Order: sequence, then structure tokens, then C-alpha cells
Amino acid sequence: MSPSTRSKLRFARHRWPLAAGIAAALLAAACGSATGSGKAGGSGTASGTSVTAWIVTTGPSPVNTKINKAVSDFETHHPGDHITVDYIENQSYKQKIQLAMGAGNPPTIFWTWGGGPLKQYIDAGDVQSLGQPSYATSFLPSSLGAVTFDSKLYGVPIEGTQPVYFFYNKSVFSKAGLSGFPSTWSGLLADVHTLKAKGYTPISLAEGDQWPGLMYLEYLTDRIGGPAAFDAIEQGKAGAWSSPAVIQALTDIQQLARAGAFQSGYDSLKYSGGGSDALVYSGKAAIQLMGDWDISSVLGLNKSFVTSGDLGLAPFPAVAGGKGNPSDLAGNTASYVSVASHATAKQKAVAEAFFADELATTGYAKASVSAGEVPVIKGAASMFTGQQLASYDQTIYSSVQSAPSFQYSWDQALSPSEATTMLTNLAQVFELSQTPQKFASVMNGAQAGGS
Amino acid sequence: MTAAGHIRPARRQGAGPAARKRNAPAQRGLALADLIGLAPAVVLFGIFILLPLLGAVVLSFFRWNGLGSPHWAGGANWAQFVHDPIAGQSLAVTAKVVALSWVVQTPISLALGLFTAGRARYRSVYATLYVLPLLLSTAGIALMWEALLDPNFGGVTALSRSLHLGFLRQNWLGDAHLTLFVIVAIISWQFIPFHTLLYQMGRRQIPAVLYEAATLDGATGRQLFWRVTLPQLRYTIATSSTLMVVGALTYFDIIYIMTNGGPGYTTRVLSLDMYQAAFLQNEFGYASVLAVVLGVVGVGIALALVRFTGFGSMRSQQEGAT
Amino acid sequence: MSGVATAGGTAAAGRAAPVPAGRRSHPAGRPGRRHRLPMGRVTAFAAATVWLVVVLAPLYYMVLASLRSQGSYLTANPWLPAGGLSFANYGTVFTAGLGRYLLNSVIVTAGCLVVTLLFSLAAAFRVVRNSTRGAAGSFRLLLIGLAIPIQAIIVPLYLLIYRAHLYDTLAALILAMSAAAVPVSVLIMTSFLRDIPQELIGAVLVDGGSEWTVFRRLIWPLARPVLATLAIYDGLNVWNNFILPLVLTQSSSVSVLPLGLTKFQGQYAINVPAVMAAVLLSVLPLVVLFVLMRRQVMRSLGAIAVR
Repeated sequence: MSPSTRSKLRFARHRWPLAAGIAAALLAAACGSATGSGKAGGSGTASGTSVTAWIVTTGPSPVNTKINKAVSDFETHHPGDHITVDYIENQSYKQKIQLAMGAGNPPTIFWTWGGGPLKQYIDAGDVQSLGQPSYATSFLPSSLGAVTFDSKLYGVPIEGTQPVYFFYNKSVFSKAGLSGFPSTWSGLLADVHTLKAKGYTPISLAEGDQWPGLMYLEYLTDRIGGPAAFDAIEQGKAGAWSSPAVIQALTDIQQLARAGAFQSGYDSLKYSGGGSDALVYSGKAAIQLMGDWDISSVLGLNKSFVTSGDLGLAPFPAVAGGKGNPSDLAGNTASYVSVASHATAKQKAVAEAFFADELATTGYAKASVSAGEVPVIKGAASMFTGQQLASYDQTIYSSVQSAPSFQYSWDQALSPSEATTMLTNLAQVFELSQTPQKFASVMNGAQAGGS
Repeated sequence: MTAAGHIRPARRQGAGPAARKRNAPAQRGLALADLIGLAPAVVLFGIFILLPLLGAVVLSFFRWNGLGSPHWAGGANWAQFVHDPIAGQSLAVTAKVVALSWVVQTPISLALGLFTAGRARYRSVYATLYVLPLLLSTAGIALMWEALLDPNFGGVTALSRSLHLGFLRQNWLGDAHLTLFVIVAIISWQFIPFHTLLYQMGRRQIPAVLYEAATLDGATGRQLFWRVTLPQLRYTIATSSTLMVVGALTYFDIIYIMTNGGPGYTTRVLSLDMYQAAFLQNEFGYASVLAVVLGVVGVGIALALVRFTGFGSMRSQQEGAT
Repeated sequence: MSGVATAGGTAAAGRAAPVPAGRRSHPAGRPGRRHRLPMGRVTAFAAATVWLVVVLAPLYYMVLASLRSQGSYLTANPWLPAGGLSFANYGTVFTAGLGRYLLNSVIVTAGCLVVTLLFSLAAAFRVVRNSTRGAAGSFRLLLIGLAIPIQAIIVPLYLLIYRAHLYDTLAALILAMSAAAVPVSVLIMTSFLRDIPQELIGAVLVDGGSEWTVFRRLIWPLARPVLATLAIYDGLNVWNNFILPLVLTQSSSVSVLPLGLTKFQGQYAINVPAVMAAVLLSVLPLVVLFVLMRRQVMRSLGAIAVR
């Protein structure tokens, strides 16, 4: 062998013990972490019960703190019982809970948005029915619709209500010579033309995420045809997607797009990066249709814009000749937690005690208000005074209280399969690459195709 | 030792009588060595990759939404696949992504690899910097490019204004005609560094004697490239192309984060289709069909590439070098 | 890909030829230029610099964005470091638990590298050494693994891991990701090992060595360049892998870096500048690994002498 190869081999010989040692250490570390990690589902102990909860988080936030406090309050009053909360982020959560349910390994308490996906779990026997408990009466009735099936309650609100409103930049409006937010659809169209003429982007739309566009369809359908139009779709009636209300709503959407109401690149802009908010608070755009979480969002991005009251809030306009009540709302009625039927009887008891003793109380509602939410407890109107966003919260709460109908977001109300198809095709309607009629026929087919 | 010393394939096959006699008692030793050497890799791969894959094949004949038990569906999922226009569209988009990726990445990686193989000191600085995109996580790359390409606020738009280059102001990720190319460009940006490394290594391993000999015969720079460099890089090209093609087939991350298949279905590759079917529409049976199709196509291409370039025969690349 | 370029050859060129080895070994890559003219080199330099800008400009943008707040990273000038830069996001990233995620990522990556490189080298050695059906068959079997998309097997894999009581452990990640890395590693190693000349192997056997001796004394040390290359490639894939940790783990005590990034994702909004900061921080260990490995790779390539 060459001298250099020989010397290399000599060098290499000394490496063996080192490598083996490192490997052993790593293996130990890996297995060590394995035994350290908690088992999902919890276990019982002689003095009390342990329960796990999976909560969807919006990042380190006052909401998480509120939940943690409720948990420690509960544990103080129920000595021996423990609730371990895992905070999981939105996108990953859906996958995780799906897999966990399928493997029979879910947490005792799990987050849900109700509607279609929850119904799938219920049909598979994975969700514990809460019956008709007494604590349910503390909540606003409209908030429980998404988790009530066959008159039985399957979930309890844990986070506040999130209806959808029009948000607008008041300074831009006054600079463009507009007095207030229009209360009719035709008024909105006229304002769009005015804003465009003055060089503003009339409406900021983040259709890249697909669900922002859905809000337009939800409201227009309701204003034109009343809640009955979507009820038919939800019940799976044949041809329900071709109802005149839906077709008219889609046509109106395309009219808006053709009028150049949306900003350039609206079909790829995402809400998540803060881009659509930036358009509004920087004064480039005037209006955005968005859920009320936008208030806290914008507060975090550009505090003075909100605290100065420059962020306007207005209900969706009425449509002339439409059957729907202009006070109807659309959005997330609330966010909920449910109990997995895989849990033991003791674990279920702990979970329900937590619901009754914490989530359904005015104390929890007050904490929610401090965390910036609008809780769905009855009689919360007085809780908002003195809060930073009091005027917004009060408007939202009273509109929820008095809404004749509060339509749950369609992408939650429908089955996942139908919802995905709807979102993708609706995006094409917004891009003007699909006609309303084609959309209806695709959706009728998707519905019939079985989901 | 010169390059000529490498050529002795016949002896490896144990053809000569002397070789046979020497190997006979060592046969058992060879077999045992084979077992010990191959078993760990094969067993690990078999349990954690092959077994689940077989599971997916089986699952493709069932209907399952992830909850409860699967229901036998016979060939229904497969029939649905054949008749599904979206699946057909996804196949077409996937083919485009694969072809475009190869066409964009290979020449650039080759050129960069040859460049960084040079000995000048500044080239190794360049080489280290070139690697950076490869090291970033996909989420970071996706978010960064999304922000850069935003038609209203993005860095590219800002450049178009300050440099007065109007054509830079496009709806990069929303225009159905542009988005696919933009995605391929971003993926290429991320992975060209890796293939550059492969070509750099490949180039460094070409013995200088070959170039000397050819130059003495009067070859020009261009001829050196086509007659010496490229042929010697044959196996590198094969490796790089196989990895590139197969990688592009199953590529998912950036497209999922940035466009999610949009606008419409223009960037919806098959792996995205499969992910949506499984985790958004909860149709695990149908998703398994797509998974099997992807696997079969990928395996077919990988095996074909290996056979086509003579990769499979374990002959030394140095053969015929003199 | 041969790992045994001749130092003798290069040295000879350096001594004998009037043109330095460096130029000879780089035929410009651009057709139509005789390598004596500087034009080829200038074009090469220009083109390479253009690509350098293409690589660095977005990274510069990323650094800038990481120094801004959520509200201003879009509205502020994207290319100029003007207006309110701060390291606040980096602070946020650390308090969000980056240390633990970093440690987990290191454990998983190191574990995978040890398993993958060892198993793959052993297998590649046998594949190259022997043309038996077993070896060739194993090779083809592993090649199949190249084309299998991870999304395809994720659900069955999850069930398998769960039934094996390995759910929510780092061990599960190490095993699954090693298994996924084996095909590529074996592929690259076989193409590297095949150029080790038979004479060397013959020499060890003639000295009375067994297959094991060949491996320990010859293959293992000579494979350093390819081991280093694969350490970079496999290491990267494992470090940045998101979907396997997502599905196979749950607790934050077992979370790895890419999962940690998702902590900055709200239900609707993402704290983009914080994610940028987290990404840049998590790149640093990789840069260190790469710089170390690279010297290994390049030095070994230029210096190994083969007789």
C-alpha cells in the first residue's frame, strides 16, 4: 500500500471506539426521551384521574394563558385530578386528531370546530354524547348549533365567537368622500367605483387561502335566499347547489371581480402573511371582509390603526329584494372541545366537570374578554366595559345576540371532501375561469358522489 | 497506479481457473459476509418502508375514511382514478414539473459544478456560499419567496419600480401561465446546490492524465468538454438525473405551502392530489391508489435510468480510459 | 463516481506541463473557447457571480425581514435596512423553546447518520464486491425505495409505529428516517465504491484477510469522501424533515426544529419575521457541519494516492 494510505488506515483505526461510544450515547438519549414522553389518553391513579387535552393554539397568546389558568383553577378545586394540555397548531392539528382517532389513541378532551367533521367522528362512535346537560343553558343558543346533533350536545364552547364583518379604513373612506359604510349591495358597488376612480384598491382579498372568498358566497347566498338556501345544501338535497340564490351570489361575486374591486394578485395573496391586512392599514386598500379575529390581528400588526378607531366595522349589506334578514351572521359560531368516547368513565367525568365548573362560568367568560375574545355566555354584555376593544366587542356581542340566524362556516359545516372541492372551484369562480353554472354542476356532482 | 490498472472485469466474475480455485474455500465466507453486510439495510428498509408500501397497495382496494374499519371496495378506487379528470390533470402537471426541473437544473448544476471544481481560491468561497439555499428549511424558503414575489409589497415589485423594469411586476404566483414556471424556478433554486456538489465531485475525480493526453493530441477546450468531461461524467449524470427526476416526481413541500395546487389546478402535482385525498378529503383508499401510481412510475423511471446508463453493471467507470 | 483520483497524475501535471493544473482541470464549461484565452475565464466568472447574486439576494431579504416586526416587514422597503430594525424576533424564538427543539434535532440527525451510513456502507460493499443474485437483488430492492413518496406510506407507517409502541419517541423518527435514507445512500456509495481497484482488495485477501478485514482496513477509511458527502445530504434531509415528526410525535419534549417553526403559526396568521429568524438560527449548525465535512471531502479527493 502507499504510505499515505497506510497512515490513513492507522488514523481510522482509532476512530472505532469513539464512534461506538457516540452511537451508544445517542441510542440511550433517544430511548430515554421515549420513556419520558407522556402517553396520550392519560391514566388513572389511586387519588385522582389524569386527562389529556389537545387544544389548537394561535401561538403564545393570552388565550393559552386563559386556558392554563382555568385548568389550574380546576385542579385546585378537584384535588388529585390533572389535565395536561397540549397546544397544537392549526394545520397539523387536523391531521393529528384524524390519525389519533383512527388508531384509537385520542386525547380525552379534543378541540373541534363542530359541523361536518365532528359529525364524521360521531358517526364512527368516537365522540361522547353530553346529552342535555344543565350547564348548556348558560350559553347563547345560536352558539351550540354546530355541536348539537339529534338534540344531543357533543361539544362545549371553549373560545369565543368569530362572526364575519366588513372592516374598512375610515380615513380612506373620508378621503374618497364616502360618508359611512354602505348598507346595500348596490351602494357597495357604487362605492367600489368611487374608490377605484380615486386610485385606491377598493377591496383587499386574500383568495390565496381560499376561505376568505367563501365568506362572500356565504353572506350573499344568505342575503338573497335566506338560510334555507344553504340548509338544503347541508341536508344534501339533490341539485341544491343550483338554487337561484347560489347562482345569483356567484354572479355578483364575478361582477365584483370584473369591476376590478380586488387588488392585483388577489388570487395568490394569503391572509396568513398579513398581506391583506397590510393593504388596509397602510391605506392602499379600503375594505376587507374578514372574521373578527382580524381585530386582534391588526392590533398586533399596527396598534395605532386600531386604537385610534380608524378600523371601521360594519355588517354585510342587504341585497335588494332578497329573502334574507340583514342581521343574519356568518362565521365561526365558536370553537369547541369534545370528549372522546375512548376515554374511561372516570376521565369522562373529569372532562365534564371541567366543562361545567370552568368553561360554562362567567369567570371564564370574563377571562375570555380580557384575552380579547367575545364569549358566547349569556349576559356577557356588561363585561366589555373598560376593555381595550370595548366598542368593537360590544357591537359584535349584541349582533350575535340578536342575529336570527348564525350560519356556521360552510367549509366546516360540509363534509371535508365536499368542502375541499367547493373551495378549489370557488377560487376559480373568483379568478373568472369558471362560470357559476359550471360551479353548481361540479358541486352537485361532488355532493351526489357521496361524502 | 495508472488508470490502466483498473481494468480487470473478467477476474471479478471469477472466470479464470486460478480465481475459481482461490475462491472455492472462501465461498462460505463470502456468503456470510453478504448476509451480515446486506441484512441490516434490507431489514430496516423492509420493515419501515416496504411494509407500509404494501399496506398502501392493499388499502387501495378498500374505502376508508380513517375512522372505523375499512370497507372492501374492489376496483372502485382504481376505476375512479382512471375516470377522474383531476387525476389526469395532476399526472400532466407532474410530468411537466419533472421535465422542466431536469431541463433547468441539469445544465446549471453542471456548469456550476465544473466551475467550482476549479482550484482557484475564490471558487471555493463561491462553492460554500452556493450551498446555502440547500440548508434552509422548506417552510422558510416558501415564506421568503412568497413575500418576495408579492405583487403589491414584494421585493421583486420594489425592484421593478426602482429599476424601471415593468415586466418584473407580475402576478407571479396567481397567473395561471406563470405559476408553474415560478415554482420550478424556486425548487431549482433550492436543489441546484446539491447537484452542483455532485458534479463538482465528479469532475474532481476525472484523472488529469486524460486531459493531458487529449491536449497533446491537439484537442480544443470545447472538444475537451464533449470528448473527455461529459463521457467521464456519465455516471454522475446518471446519479444526479435519477435523484432529480425521482425527487421531482414526489416533490411536495414547496408546492403545498405556496400554491396548494393553485391557481385552479395548474400546479397540482400528483403527490399533492394524494395528500389532499388522504388528509383533507379523508379518502385513504383513493389516496393509496395515487400513492401506488406514483411509486410505480417512480420506480419504473429509476430502474430504467439505471439500466439505460449501464449503472447497474458494477463496472468501473475508469474502463476504457486509456 | 470514483473516489480515487490520482494524486500522482495531478502532481505530474503540475511538474511537467507549462500550464498549471488548475486551469487544465476546468475546461470552462462554455463551448467555443480555447482554454488559453482569458475570455472563457471571464465569462465563467461573470456567470458564476450572477448566480451568486441569485443565491444571496433572497437570503439578504430574509435576514432583513427577520429584523423587522410583523406589521412592518411588508410595508417597509424590502431591500434597504431602513426603519426600525431589531433583534426582537430572535429573542422570541429563544423563549419559544428553540433550545429543546435544537437538541432533539441534533439527536435525531446524529442517530440517523450513524445508522444510515453504517448500514448503507456495509450493503454497498457487498453489492460492489459480489455479483451474486442476493447482492444484485438487494440492490434493486433498495432502488425501489428511491421512488416511494413518503406521503404514500405515512398512514400505514403511523399504524406500524403505534402498534410497536414507539409512538411519540425520537427512536421512531430515527428508525423511519434512516430507512428512508438507505436507498439513496446505497446508490451513491455503490457508484463510489465500484472504482476501488480490485488489486487493492486482492492485496488484502492475499495477505490472509477475510471480507471483514477488507471492509475494516480498506473500504472504511477509503470511503471518507462519500461518507462526508452523504453526511451532508442525508443529514440535511433529516434535519429539515417535517412530515414524519408531525405524524409520529406529539409532545413538545420530543419535537424537532421544523415542528418548532409551526409554533409561530396562528390559526389564521403566521408571524413571518419570527419564522425567518427561527429558520436562520437553525441553519447555523448546518453551515458548521457543512464547512467541516466539505474540507474532509475536498481534501480526501485531492490527496488519496492509489497504487
